[in-house]
Amino acid sequence: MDKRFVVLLLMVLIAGCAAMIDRTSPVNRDLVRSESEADASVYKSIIEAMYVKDGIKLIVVRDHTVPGNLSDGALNEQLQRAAKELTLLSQETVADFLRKNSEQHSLTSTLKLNVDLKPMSESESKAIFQEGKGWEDFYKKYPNSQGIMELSKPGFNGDATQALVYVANQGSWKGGAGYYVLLVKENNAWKIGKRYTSWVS
Amino acid sequence: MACPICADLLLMNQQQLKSGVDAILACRVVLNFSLMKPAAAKEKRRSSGPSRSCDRASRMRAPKPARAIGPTTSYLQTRIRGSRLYEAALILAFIELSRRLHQAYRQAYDKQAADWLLPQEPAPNIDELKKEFYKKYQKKLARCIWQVFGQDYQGNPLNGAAILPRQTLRNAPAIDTSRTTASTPGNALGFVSTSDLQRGRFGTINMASNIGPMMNQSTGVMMTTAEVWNRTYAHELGNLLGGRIAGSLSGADTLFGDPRGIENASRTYRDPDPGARLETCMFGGVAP
Repeated sequence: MDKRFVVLLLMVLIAGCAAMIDRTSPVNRDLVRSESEADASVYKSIIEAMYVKDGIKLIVVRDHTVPGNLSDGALNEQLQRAAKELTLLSQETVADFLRKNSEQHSLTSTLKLNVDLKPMSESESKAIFQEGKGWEDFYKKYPNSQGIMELSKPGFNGDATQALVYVANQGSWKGGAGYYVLLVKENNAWKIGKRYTSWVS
Repeated sequence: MACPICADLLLMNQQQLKSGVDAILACRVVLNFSLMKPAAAKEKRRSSGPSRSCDRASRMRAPKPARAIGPTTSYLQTRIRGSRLYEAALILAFIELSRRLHQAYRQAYDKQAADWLLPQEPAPNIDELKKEFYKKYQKKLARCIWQVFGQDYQGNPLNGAAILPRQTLRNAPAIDTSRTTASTPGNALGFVSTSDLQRGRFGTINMASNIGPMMNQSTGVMMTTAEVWNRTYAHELGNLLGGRIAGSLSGADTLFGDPRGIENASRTYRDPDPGARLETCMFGGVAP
């Protein structure tokens, strides 16, 4: 009776552990890791080129991705307008951007910068801006920061030499802007090619 | 009772009795027995004895037969109880009245203090605010448009102001107030998207519907709703006009913005767009 019980318990434990094992194949795991590394590299290039300046020691960023400017109509229409300015933007990159931004992603694991990084949750933002005094409270909590940044998931072309990212940053009640940024890979490093301003405040 | 002398005696006794009862009641009120506990009042009466007037009244008290005709002891006790109840009710009413007066005064004071510290203004009428803006700042706006779009941030001449028609209420952009700060990009008070440059005949400015009084950090003075609204409108008008002249918001920043950025009142952010230049020209700085 006791032996049967022990065997049954072991079987349940083994079944539980098997369910917890990551079923992603080694090839897929590598792809996920490389995509994540590519994203991190693109983010680092944009943030350090555009926002790490004038004594900025902390970057505050939303903890999840946004697809683009949510107040300017459909995303594909925005990208069509952006493509008129970003002449080198390929349709392949646009398609990848739209596909990857059809859902939200967590940003906390993909961001690695030379300055401190603070992911901001929706609840914290609400506490500061809807229940608190807004930017006054924000800068008391995060002095020497650039404001609040929003990032999309990057879209890449087939050979990963071009990337498109939406980045928006607001630093005061009337100071902010959102851009679609086209990056090109040169000497194995991402550089900002051109940016299209989607909105200004 | 047929004897007239007896009748006179009886009449006299009744009058004496009446004055005696009144005197006793007056004494009790004077000594404030009604507020004492019955036992204490009884003891006080016994120990101190009646006052002179009470004593006189007692001495004038009617003999036994007359008491049967006039007010009885129970009648007196009832009147005394009534008197006590009346006094107690008066005191309670006074306390309650004082309490309510205090409460009303405190509420009125709190409301006045709140109104003084946090002025509650009615929801702004957008058309009125827009009309007031052009009425109040028409000349200043024209002068500042020449400054912002007629030359770049370094003073080099530009032809932006020359190709722009004179800005009046008649050719003012439309205002979209369908969002609050919670739903604008970055919790902004106002913004302009690329599609807004051509939305409507003269373009469209998005203004948060919940703009209210805010502190100007550089002066420490509370700005009224109208002031915050006027500053935000001027700022976003600068961005919109810049975008319309340049053909895009990207071009507006490049041509008419200040890449060094204009510091806001709380010294936390440097704004590089043409809106910041126009607001600074019209109001002496960017606030809030």
